[in-house]
Amino acid sequence: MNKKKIRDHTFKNIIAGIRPPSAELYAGSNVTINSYGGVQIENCKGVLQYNENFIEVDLGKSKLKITGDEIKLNQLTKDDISIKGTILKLEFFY
Amino acid sequence: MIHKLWQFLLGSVKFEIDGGQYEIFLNDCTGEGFSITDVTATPLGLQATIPARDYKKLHQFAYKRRCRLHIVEKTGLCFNFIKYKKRIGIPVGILLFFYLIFWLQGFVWTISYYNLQPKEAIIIDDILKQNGISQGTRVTSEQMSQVRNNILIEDSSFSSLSLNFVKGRLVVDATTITEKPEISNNIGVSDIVAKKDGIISSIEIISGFSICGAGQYVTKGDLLISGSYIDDYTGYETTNYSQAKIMAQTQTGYQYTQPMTITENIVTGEALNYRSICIGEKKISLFRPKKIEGSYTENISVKPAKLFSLPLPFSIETIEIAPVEKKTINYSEEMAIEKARLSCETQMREDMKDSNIISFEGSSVIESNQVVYTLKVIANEDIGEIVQR
Repeated sequence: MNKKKIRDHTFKNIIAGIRPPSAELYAGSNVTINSYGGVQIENCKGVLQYNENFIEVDLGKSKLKITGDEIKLNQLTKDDISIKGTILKLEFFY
Repeated sequence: MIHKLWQFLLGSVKFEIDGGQYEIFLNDCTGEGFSITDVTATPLGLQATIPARDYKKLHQFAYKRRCRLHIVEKTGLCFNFIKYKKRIGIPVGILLFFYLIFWLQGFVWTISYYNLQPKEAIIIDDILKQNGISQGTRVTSEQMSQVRNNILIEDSSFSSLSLNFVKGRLVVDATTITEKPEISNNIGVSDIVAKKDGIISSIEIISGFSICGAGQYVTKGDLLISGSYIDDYTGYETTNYSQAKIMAQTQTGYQYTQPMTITENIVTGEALNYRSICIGEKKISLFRPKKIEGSYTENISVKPAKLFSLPLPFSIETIEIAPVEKKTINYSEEMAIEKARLSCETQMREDMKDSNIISFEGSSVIESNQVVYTLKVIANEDIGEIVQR
């Protein structure tokens, strides 16, 4: 490998490192889960089904079903849902 | 915590949704911008909390999605006050209280004295009362300046006096005049003569010419220090003012006659206290006067009213009335002598404040139902008296 190719490769790597993430990452819904049984969903489209044991949320291109015990919705606004409870399973449906 | 506080201040409604499409109802509500919190599932639907201002708007969505809404709990400050909505007396009372406090600031609640002895404070208090200033009166700056002038004219013992009225408190600050030191009249010629009989023990001459010596017996009016002196050689007369301290051993006598039978008013019954509230010049009696037969003594005292040591804008006048009866008291011989002795000795100590008492001796004689007590006092005192020529 000549010197020019090595230099180009290094330059591309640096550019890739400082480039912001793609817009698609923020365009869709974001799901944040913590280890204390809290789930934060941003940019969701609405609640499809909800009871004590599961909640199904519309994420636009997909659906998310969270199964667990004593599931509560702490905060419910237009785009965000904050869920608290004993989370057992997360399933995505496309 | 802050969220909970806002929820309490703005008010929140905990409600229950059952039946229908409650999930879509939730989406409709959030789509409209309502903030729904604490959503929990119930067997028939769910339970949630919403700000009180948004609750009424939920019904249209509930009707659309065939849901039923029930209020579970209403919390917040606005719901607490609804209970007192029709009780106008409470807000009126609060407003009246603040208005009264503001209005009463113009009245004298308490009078404070600074740089004044209790006796002087009593004198000023009396003058203030005579001029219509006491607890419960409304004062003006003109009235205060007038009273200040009156006090300064009536009582010459004050060099400065200020009356300051600050939010119900009248502060009296005064400075008493310091007495002028006595300046000896050293202009002209003066002599010193004896004002009492006695044996001179010591002479301290500041100016003048001594005529007497220590150990000499002098009688009242004898010349002790002369203001003039004639020189034997020249024949010239030298004149001067006289100033000296002449201490002499003197003998003074006191006599007191104590009758063995006297008539005095003796309190025979329980004293009754009658109180009145004094607001300025107005007086509100807190008693129903009773008729007291016979003679009685009356003692009136006025004190500023206080509640748990906080001053109130009025004073309380207490009249103490005690029934008295004239009774004849017969003293025994010993008691009469003792009473006469005490009177004599009190008078002696008062007269000889500046003298050195060497000894005193008393004797008593009983004459026609009375005791005559005689006290002889030997003291060392200044007997000099300046006499202008």
